[in-house]
Amino acid sequence: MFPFLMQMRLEDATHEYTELAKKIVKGIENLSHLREEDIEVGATPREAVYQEDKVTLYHFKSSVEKSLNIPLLMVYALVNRPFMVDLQADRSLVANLLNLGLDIYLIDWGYPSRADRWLTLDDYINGYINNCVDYIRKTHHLDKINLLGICQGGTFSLCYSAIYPEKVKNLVVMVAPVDFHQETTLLNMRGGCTLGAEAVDIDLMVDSLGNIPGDYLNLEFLMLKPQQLGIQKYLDLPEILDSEDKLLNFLRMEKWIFDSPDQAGEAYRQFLKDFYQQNKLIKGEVMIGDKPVKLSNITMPVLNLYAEKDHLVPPASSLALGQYVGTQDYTVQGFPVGHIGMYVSGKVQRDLPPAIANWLKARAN
Amino acid sequence: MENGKSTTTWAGVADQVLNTWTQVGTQMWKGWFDALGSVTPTATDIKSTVEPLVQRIANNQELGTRLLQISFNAWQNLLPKVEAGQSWQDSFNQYTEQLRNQLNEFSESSTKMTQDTVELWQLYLKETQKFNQLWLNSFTASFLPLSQTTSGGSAPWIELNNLYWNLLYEQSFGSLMQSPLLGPAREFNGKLLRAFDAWVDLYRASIDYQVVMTDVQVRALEELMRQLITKAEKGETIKDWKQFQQLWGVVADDVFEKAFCDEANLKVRGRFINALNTYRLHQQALMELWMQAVNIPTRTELDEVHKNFYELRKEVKALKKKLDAYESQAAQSTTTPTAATTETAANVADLSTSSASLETEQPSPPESPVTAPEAKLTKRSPRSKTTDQASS
Repeated sequence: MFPFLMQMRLEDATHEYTELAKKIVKGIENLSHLREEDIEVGATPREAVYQEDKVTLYHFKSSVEKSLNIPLLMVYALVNRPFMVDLQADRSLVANLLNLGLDIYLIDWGYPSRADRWLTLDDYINGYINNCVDYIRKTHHLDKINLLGICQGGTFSLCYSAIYPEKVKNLVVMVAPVDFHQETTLLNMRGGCTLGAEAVDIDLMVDSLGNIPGDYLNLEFLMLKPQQLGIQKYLDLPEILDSEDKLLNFLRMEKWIFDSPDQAGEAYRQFLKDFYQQNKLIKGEVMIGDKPVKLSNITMPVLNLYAEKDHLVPPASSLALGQYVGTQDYTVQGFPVGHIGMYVSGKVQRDLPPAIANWLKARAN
Repeated sequence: MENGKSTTTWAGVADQVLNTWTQVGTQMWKGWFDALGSVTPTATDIKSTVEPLVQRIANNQELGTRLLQISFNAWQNLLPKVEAGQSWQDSFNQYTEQLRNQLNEFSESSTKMTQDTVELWQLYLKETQKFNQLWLNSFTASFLPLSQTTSGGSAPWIELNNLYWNLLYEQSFGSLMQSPLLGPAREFNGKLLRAFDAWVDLYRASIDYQVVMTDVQVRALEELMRQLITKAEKGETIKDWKQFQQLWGVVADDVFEKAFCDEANLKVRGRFINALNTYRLHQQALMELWMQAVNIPTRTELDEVHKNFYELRKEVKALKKKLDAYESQAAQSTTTPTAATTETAANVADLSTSSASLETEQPSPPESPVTAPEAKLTKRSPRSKTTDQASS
């Protein structure tokens, strides 16, 4: 018997296509009244409160009474847009945290142009992040605020907290790479964690391209799972066309994935060379401008959140943090999802916001 | 059941199914988006939003379907044998060999192109005698890698490819391009030849990379078949096309990931990316020659301007922070307000006359609890104000 082949008869395929055609017809109907604004990401009302160059600091509005007076600043990665934390009303880390009584700010890095190619990590960390932190401290009359760093923004937050421990009350990092020497992770291997310039000569790349195009990074991320991310998900798309909600979810995610800003050349150069290729963060050798980054200076409470199936930032990379931070109050929590699942998984959105809020509230004094 | 006959029948049916699937699928996508464009006049918005998506699908479909089709054909022949308890190994080898042959054909054709490229330079430089000698050398030297290709894997093909390049290009014309040039056109010719050299290097690196990619496809097929057979032997059959497709995606990606965590393959990829960036730099150098000739600002000049702006902007921000610190200190000084004001004014004067002094100044006064720039939501940057103050 050939069960699989038996089911692959022409009439079956025809039937399947008939069903598919119905979904597509419905899909066309759905699409015909959708507009670009329907797939806008960033659902929660917010106000731009501080702007410097192309960077904007947003303050989210909440209808819930604040139960924690220390505001939380979210620092997202330079890669992709930060609104993954507020993708849509029912899938929003921001909205969920607001509902738990937190006061939230978010840095939007904007879209660097060629004029920004000379921006360095010094500008991002000692400049933009520090100025945003100072703005919030001044506004709230506080010496210290809470910081939530996500992905590459988590690494930036670690650097910032190590340089300015006096300004950070509590530090939360989420899917943040720390130990970049990961020999079984394609992203790290391609970045040259073992081969350095033989895997990719970053100096040559930045000299040649100036800024690193967002499209190049998109391709690099797709090529981590080329069949599943490049083909499979589009083959599966017709299955959801007849559902407007699912279609909107898909299109919003597509928009987020491919709305990828270019990377300022000099900042990219330092991040790839110092962090990915030379793993200087855990060696205590990173310099941000003229300021050394010593993870042992991180003495405030730290909550380290990681994704157990993360193919971009493997758990081992995040978990290494525990060996290097100087704090006596260090908490780790894993979630059984991948990198993106941390933002969009229903289960994670149920469990993650309370985990953050409760941890912060317990350390409010 | 007569295996030969039934296999042929099944192969025919399955081929039809697969062809129907891919053709209808392609038509479906095309028809869908064509129809979309005509649904309403305002559908253009959506079309422009999703058009890149369609393009990706089209590009990926061609690449993906190739391997998928071979995988499916292989499996439709293997499954009856596996289920009948017959030897399937020969058929399995036949399919992997089929893919390897494609790899070989690709490499042979790329070598032929290499020869053509070299021949162009041979005619150009009139180095016929040396060229013929090198041909003989390369032919002799190629025996070892050729004998290894039958054992599978991409390494011998890459070695062979590089051998041709090294012998036919590097030793003859490539080395000439490194020589100092003469005459008024020296600089231009130098850039031209170096750009060609970089292109040749890129071409060679891209062939090596393609060889690795093709090898990864072969390995993906092998692994897929292995997993399908293992499942079939356990009685776990694939239920439908979608399940087959999903398994294929997971297996292929897993093979891909392992292949490019391997340093040998990573180096091949690295050579390709680095050669691409090197060529781009040479291309830019050539382009800038022409732009200078027609009085158009070059990339390098614009970068220089941007860098100057960036450095000035950074300097002004630093000045403003210093100024804020002094002002804050002065405001907090309640004991001798007059003296503090005088001191602040003196500091401002210092800052305005020497920006270089920033680097060598004595340690800054203690930072006030909050020293954020008084940034507001305004199109006019706060630094403009600082500049005015500092220079007044």
